[in-house]
Amino acid sequence: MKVTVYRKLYKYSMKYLNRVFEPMGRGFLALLVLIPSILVFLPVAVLFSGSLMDTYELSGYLSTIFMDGTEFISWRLMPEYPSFANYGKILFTTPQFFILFWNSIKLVLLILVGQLLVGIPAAWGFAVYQVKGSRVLFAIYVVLMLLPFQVTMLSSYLVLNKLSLLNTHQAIILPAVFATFPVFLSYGGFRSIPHQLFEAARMDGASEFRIFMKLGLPLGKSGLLSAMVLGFLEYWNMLEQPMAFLEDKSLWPLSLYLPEITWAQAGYAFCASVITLIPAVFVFVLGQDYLEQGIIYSGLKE
Amino acid sequence: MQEEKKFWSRSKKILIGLLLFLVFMWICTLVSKAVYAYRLPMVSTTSPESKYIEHIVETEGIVIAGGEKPVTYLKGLRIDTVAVRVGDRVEEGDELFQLDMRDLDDLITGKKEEISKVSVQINTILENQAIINEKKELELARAREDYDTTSRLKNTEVGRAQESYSQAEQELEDAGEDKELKNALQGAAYGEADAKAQRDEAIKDAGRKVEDIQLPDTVTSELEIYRMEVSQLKGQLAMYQEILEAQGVVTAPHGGVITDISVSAGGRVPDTAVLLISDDNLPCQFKVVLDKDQKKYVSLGDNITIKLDGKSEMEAVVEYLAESRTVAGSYEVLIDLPEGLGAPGVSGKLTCSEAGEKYSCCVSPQVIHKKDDRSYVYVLREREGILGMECYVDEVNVKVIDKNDSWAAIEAGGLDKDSKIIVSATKEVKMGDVVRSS
Repeated sequence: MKVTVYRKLYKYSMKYLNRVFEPMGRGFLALLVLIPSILVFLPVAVLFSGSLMDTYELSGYLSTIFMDGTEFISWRLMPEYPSFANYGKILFTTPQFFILFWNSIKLVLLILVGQLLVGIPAAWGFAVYQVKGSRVLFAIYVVLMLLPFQVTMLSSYLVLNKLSLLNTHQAIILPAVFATFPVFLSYGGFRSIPHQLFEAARMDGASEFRIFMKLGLPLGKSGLLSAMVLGFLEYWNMLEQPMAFLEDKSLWPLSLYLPEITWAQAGYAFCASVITLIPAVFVFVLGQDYLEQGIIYSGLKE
Repeated sequence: MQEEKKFWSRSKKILIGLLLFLVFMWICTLVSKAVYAYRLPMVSTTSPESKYIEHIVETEGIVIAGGEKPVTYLKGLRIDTVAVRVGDRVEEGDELFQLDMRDLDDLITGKKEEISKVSVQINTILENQAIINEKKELELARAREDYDTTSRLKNTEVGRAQESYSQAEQELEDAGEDKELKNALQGAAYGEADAKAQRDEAIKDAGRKVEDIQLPDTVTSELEIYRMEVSQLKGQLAMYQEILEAQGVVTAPHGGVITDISVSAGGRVPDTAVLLISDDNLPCQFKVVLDKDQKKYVSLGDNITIKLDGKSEMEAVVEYLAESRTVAGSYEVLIDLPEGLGAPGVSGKLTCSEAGEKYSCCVSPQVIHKKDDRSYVYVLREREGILGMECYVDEVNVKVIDKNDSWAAIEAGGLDKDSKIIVSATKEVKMGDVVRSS
């Protein structure tokens, strides 16, 4: 029902936009979209070109940063002397990078698996079983979701310290497994399934678990997948949690490796950034269709 | 339905891509770990130990002659070849060096000419002396003749004056008291006295002239000097002749080992020793040069052990210890060897040991590095890194209290018994380097 309302809203919006921009012609429209696209893409282009530059070329472009810093830096998107030395160095001689890479993979996968096991049933419960107080409980959930990490950091630290989980991967995984955001997103997916279907299934003698597995998961997969994709992107790039709870560098995720690289190794930093980007791109491409859906769910109101 | 299939097909491809990426990263992980481990320097470590620092001075030395005899030769002869070298053993009569025969001929000719010159000078002196003698004899004869003549003439004059006086006296006696006659007698008396005085004076002068001529001439040594010179030149010439007869070969006057040669081929024989030959009659000495550190543990009168090449060890006493005059900062030790033992040039080893104190923190001297005035050791430490616990190199300043060739006692400020001091590394390491411990 809510989705239908949103689609109508979208339809009317597009009609209005078409009416405004159609007279200007397609060429102008393309130009209008191209300029911000270029601006958005520019940092990524700088990242790629920087990763292919050798130390001498980079120091020439970035010298103003190391010197007085009064001039703008110059940059060539096409390196004058392309070099894969940085890639060679990071891929074949720097095991530190891979330690952190696999730490990130481990953390993200365990968090997502945990969220699937904990968050999805929780969302199913909120969406399907309307018991007394469930709305209030869900409202508290939403409030918790709105709290930024900095607010809960101290209390989380004290709890984790009490549980002797500080400086372990569990200190990152467990709070994330019980995060409210995937519950919230999945909740939207499950709420979009008509209740009549569950009634019909019950009347046909299906158990609650069977209804969850056979109806809930297939029909609410868009919410689940968007939660997973957004969760991956969030935890792949997390900074505050590992900085606050992990002391040993050997436990750090990849996101903390880049600040460790000094400016003298700028090319190396560019290269590490590109490699760090690759898994996120894969996951984004995999779940981009569901991301839109997830964002829609997160914008739905009761 | 069609869209669903398309979606799963696309998702499958992306998942395979992601999987391949992860496999690639896994391979890179293995490769980078292997390369990293291969590049890490391997170090071996040791820990400080409690040790007695015994100072053993072991140094090489050489046997030198107990005494030396100089070989001198005629100064100025040119040497054609030197037949011996320092360290050579020679017996009496062995050839030492060969003189230049052409130069010797020239020298002989020169000497002969010098003798001739001096002989001519002697002859000239002798002839001059003969002429002078002849002149002197003539002068003497003439002086004597003058004396006789003067004596005769003056006596006649005196006789005449006496006769005048006698006549005046007679006339006065005859005439009585006549004043004129008295004056005449008085005048005759004066005349007689004057004649006598003149006679004595003339005879004295003539006698002195004779005496003067008879006086010997001034003594000069010129002739004797020339004669001595001739004698000396003849002696040298005789020696040159001897050398010429011996074909210019100079031989050893006695047996021994050549210890020093101060001439070379083409040079001339100096007025000092041409070479030195050891004196076989005196026992040899063992000479060792000690550096400043070694000298601290060797003193005069210390018992030491000497082992000459091919001989068994023997106990000896340090007889002489003094700063070297040739090498600044080093010291010479001389030990008298028993008679008949060793020969100049034979090498050997001196060993001297001195028991030291016990120190709680001793390390091998090889692990102590020096930079400027600072001594330090590399210590292996552990730290938490991205790869887990990693070993790294730390620098600890130390102060060396005492040391010998095997151990160095250091002040145990920054080190304890569990400290791992780096002994060796497969690559050069510096402070902060990550390493592997073997």
